[in-house]
Amino acid sequence: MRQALVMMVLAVAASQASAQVSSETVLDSTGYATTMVRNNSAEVLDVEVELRHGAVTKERIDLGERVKAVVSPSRFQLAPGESQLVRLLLREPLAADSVIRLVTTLTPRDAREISRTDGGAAAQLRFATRLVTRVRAQ
Amino acid sequence: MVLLIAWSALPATLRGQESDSLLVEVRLAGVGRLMLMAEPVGRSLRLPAEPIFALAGRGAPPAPAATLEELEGLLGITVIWSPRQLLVTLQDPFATLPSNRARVDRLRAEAAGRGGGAVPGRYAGWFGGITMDDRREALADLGYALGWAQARVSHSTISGTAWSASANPIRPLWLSYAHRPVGGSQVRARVVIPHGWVSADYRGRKFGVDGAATLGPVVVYASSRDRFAVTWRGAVDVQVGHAGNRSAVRVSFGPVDPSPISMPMVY
Repeated sequence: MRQALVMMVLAVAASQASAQVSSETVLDSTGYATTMVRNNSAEVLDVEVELRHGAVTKERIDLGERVKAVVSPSRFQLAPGESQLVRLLLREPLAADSVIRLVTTLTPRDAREISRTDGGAAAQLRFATRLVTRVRAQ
Repeated sequence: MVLLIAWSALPATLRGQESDSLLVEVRLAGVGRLMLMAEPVGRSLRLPAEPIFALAGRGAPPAPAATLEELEGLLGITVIWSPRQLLVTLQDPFATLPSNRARVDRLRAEAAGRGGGAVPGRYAGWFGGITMDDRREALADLGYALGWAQARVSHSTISGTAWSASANPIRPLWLSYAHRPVGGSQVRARVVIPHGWVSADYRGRKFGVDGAATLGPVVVYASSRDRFAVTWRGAVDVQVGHAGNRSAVRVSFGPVDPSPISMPMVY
């Protein structure tokens, strides 16, 4: 039962990761950039987009504070197959060695029921998929 | 009992003054574009009006901000909001906005400035023809166009062989050279300037300068060869011209504008 539940969870998790974000976003000399977020899944997704500072430690990046920037829109909903343009505009100067990441969190609008017992209890899961992509200055 | 489990951290509530504002592009095709912060108002937007009025070429707006519907009423055009592209398009197909009208006037002036010679980029290849009249005199011509340049040679049973070449090496500059057995050679250069053009030519050992300028509905043309014309284009076109010792005025109507460099005359 437990093994079946784990397999079902993994299958559901895999089905949520069907969104597309540019692998790299390039800021121009004014700190402005655009990126597209596309919903390739069959479900309605709640999307949140933010810019965060990062710190490189032993070949991995730890996300830090939010960057002072305009992220427009920062929260929106995408139906299956829809795309949304997101504009980014920095509001703080960046050091030459700054590490910035675009963090896109995708959450299905509807919870998915994965298990129900004979007694009527049911488990539902909502997976939030987080995509962390690179941002660099031109 | 229903258990709702969040597998990973749900998005935190956003804070900050830009959480609801949108950074949108406002575009007037052929004129320019702006990046503005807009406030969503239902399915519409409220935008700062002053920069949009400046883009349209209008004076001060009646209010500091306006919704899309209010902008349509104030500017007299169609405003289209594309939320997935964060794009506000000002549609002015009839050039009613002053800035758009100035753009159309500029294009007209540039079109009037393009003399015969180089053809648009999409035309390339050989061209030619044969002409014969009732005297059984004939003219054959053959040429080749590269798009930005062309060369042509012709032979007439009356005047002999002539040839010409013209080029548009950079957008505002047109050059041409022609050699005719009758009349000699002619070199010509024409430069398209904002709202007009200036042309200089050398033929028959004489140097001449022509120029035209478009000022709204009025086109003014002048030549060093003692010619000038002023053309006013409206519901009724009025043209006043002078060439040599003759002056004339023409009033016309219809869909075809009078050529601003042609002198009205009676013949």
